[in-house]
Amino acid sequence: MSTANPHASPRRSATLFALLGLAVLSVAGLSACIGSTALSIETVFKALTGAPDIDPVLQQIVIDFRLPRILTSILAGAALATAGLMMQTIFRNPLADPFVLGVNSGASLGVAIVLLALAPTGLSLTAGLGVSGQILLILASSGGAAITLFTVLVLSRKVDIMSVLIIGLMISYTVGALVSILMYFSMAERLQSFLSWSFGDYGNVSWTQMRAFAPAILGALGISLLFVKPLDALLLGERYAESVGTRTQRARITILFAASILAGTVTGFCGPIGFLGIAAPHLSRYLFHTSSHRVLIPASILVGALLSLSADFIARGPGLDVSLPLNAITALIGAPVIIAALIKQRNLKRLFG
Amino acid sequence: MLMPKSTKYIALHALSLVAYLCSSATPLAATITSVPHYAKNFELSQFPTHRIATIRNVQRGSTATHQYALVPKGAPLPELPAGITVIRTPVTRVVVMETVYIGYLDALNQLDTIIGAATSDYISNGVIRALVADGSIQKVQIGAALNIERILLLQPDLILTSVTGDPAFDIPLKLARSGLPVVLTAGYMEQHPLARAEWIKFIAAFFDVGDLAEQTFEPIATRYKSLHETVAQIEQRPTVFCGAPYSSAWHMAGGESYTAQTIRDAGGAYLWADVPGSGAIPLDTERVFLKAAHADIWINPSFYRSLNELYAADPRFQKFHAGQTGHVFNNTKQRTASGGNSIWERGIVHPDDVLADLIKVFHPELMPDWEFIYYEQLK
Repeated sequence: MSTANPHASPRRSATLFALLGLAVLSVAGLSACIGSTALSIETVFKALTGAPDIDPVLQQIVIDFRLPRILTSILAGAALATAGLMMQTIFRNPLADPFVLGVNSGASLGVAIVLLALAPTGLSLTAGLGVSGQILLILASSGGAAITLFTVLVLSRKVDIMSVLIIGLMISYTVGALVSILMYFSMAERLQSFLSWSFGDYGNVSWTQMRAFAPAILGALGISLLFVKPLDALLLGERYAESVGTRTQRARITILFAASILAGTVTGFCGPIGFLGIAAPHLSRYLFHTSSHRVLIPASILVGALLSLSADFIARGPGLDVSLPLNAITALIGAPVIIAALIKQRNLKRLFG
Repeated sequence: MLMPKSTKYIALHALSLVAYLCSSATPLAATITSVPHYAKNFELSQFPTHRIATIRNVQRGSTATHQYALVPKGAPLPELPAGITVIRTPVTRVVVMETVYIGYLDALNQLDTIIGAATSDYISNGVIRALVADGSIQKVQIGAALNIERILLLQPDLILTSVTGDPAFDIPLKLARSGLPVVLTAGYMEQHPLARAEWIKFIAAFFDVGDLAEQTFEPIATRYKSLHETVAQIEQRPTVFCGAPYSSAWHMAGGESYTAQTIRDAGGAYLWADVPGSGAIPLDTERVFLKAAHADIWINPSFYRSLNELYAADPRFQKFHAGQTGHVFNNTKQRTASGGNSIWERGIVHPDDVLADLIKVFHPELMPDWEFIYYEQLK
């Protein structure tokens, strides 16, 4: 149904992959050079290779600030795009995003509890435990995401996939209501801090945290690559998938689990980042003219990384003295991309069985 | 800057008084208007039957003035401008919507007039905390949730608050229908520490303890000025930056802000002193690092009290020179577990103590025997 498309030649795909890879590298390089101060490409190179004539402050800026940010941006973009693709496939719904199972709300609740309810008592709590506020934030948001996911998966064991979607939405609303209540009883500064978290930021993942972030993302991406065949089958519906021998129950749990690890980890470390999860899969489908996940997963990884890097680059306000909230920029980039892709596509329903 | 301004005001005041008395005055009441020496946002005018308190600059960008008529209890209501809020003095039932007023009331020995307080977690004063805990002082606001009915039942004769222009949080808008006596203050809009401290005179007017306010304020101002003199001539100033990122946004105080002024008065060279603005400048860690990587001293890093906490928040803080040499100081010595800090209560009334602490931070050799009251060095 999918690979019979005359536009989807392997040579075309290969060229596209090469172009995408090049684009990712270029935007990454651009990101490294432009920021609070503009550095030339050779300065960046000297900083990375440890040349003796580099200003130590600039070197630290490149290695400790810009490099982790670029890496986080690439990993987060890849993670969200793949998670979004998997959610769209498994729910056979072009509007599904990585957070459709309430992962975002769960993470928000965890963060709301730390920032709004526990703090300031939470702050002396962390001092006693020797755990910093930021790590507590990561644990709380990942924990919140995990608990929400677990709840949804437990509740949806006996129901079909459409009901899982609705259960996820309902849990999302419930948790969102709890967050509202917490916000209602909070001081202005706490709300500012919570709002600031909800804008999303790639700049908070230091190298030590990268040791947890990168393996989680890469591991879940690896799992998703193993499930290419089940994903292709599930795209045509669970009944069809069973008839061709897919173990749907196992596939569903693993795929949802992998997608939620990806989404939950990104939200945990970077805050909620919207739109990349919907926009990148649609853009990949449009560029590669296929629904085969063997092509789409790597394509989404690259497209997601590219969109993510671009959004971060713009959000850092090159040339301006202030930075913009990341979430706003991903929406500003993502929405037109989706609209353009859909208009060109003309018949989205065809791709979703 | 301080000396010329006060003498100028005294001269102006004396001259205007002489001019007024010599001119053919209107047959109505003679007034004495006392213009504070440092504070710019309030004035008290004395009439034979009452006092008028005028305030201005209540929030950023405001050009309006607000007036309150302070009429003694039991006296008949004199002729007043239409629509003016009347407060009967001395007040005995006070609701404080911000914790800063507790500092002023403590200095004026009027703590027992407080019957209601907002956001009680942030109160640092032990006496008031105990009274809140046993219910003698009612909690009238938790977070953003204002309990209007509770305030009405308390029947206060004075509610002290300040506004920021945000209708979601400003109290007077919410209480407009209630007819309660709300008085705005603009102390937080003053940029000089002595200006903020001088608001004790404004608060005192409601309790008829103006003399006590004068007696309390004058020695504080004198000591502040003499402390300032000891550093004013020093050329070698340590470079200073302040704050810490809160959820990835690092808000750096502007060059015209209160924080910038305190750093300047204490003999420090604030790295953002030439950036205009009295509010906060939104930056991120990279931008701050670019400018402050080699700075000598780091003050007020959010709520961190030890170097371990600081580095745990972000290991890159170790790359700052101030972080490496351990020259990080925070005003958290008096911070309570629930977030209250005496520096924002007693510290506002006694800016000379805060100045002494800061001089010890920037020029320790000038204050060898001084022990920190509000500041502590992160270890």
